[in-house]
Amino acid sequence: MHCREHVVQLHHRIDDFQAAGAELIVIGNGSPSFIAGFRDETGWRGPLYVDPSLALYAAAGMKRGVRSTFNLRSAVRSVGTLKRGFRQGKMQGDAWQQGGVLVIARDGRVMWSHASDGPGDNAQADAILAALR
Amino acid sequence: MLDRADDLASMTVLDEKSAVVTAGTLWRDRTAILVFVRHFG
Repeated sequence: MHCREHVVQLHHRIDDFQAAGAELIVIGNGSPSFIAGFRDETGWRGPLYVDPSLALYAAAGMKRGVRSTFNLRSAVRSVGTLKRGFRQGKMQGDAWQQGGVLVIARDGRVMWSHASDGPGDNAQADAILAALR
Repeated sequence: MLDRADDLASMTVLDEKSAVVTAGTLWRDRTAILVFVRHFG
């Protein structure tokens, strides 16, 4: 439920990101055939790629595992998310793979990163914008 | 936290037509905010 909400939340700040000279790019871990459904769900029309091998996820420092998916904080946040009206769609991709954000400058320097510990632990747009300035 | 993304630049992702895209091209022209989603769900 949280991934779509996260993308929608970041999507709302796309103008701010672009004003800061950055482009928002979504990376998923399903197969390319899942992309159309994801666009429908989120309204995201920007760049979107998939990494079915999860090799880029791993190299980017994203976490993977049962423990990081199921924990109390996640459960509490799940309740909060449901109250806000988002419900999880049919799951695609790797259920144990966690997400996150990596901000990379043109020269290859990593300006900011966040590796999520579990559902709902998502990077905030304000923190990303602060790193761009 | 990574200091540099050099090791990622030669890796690949797929676009929606299953075409292979070199990851480094994503931040070649401007700063890239890569949002890794947990899964498509």
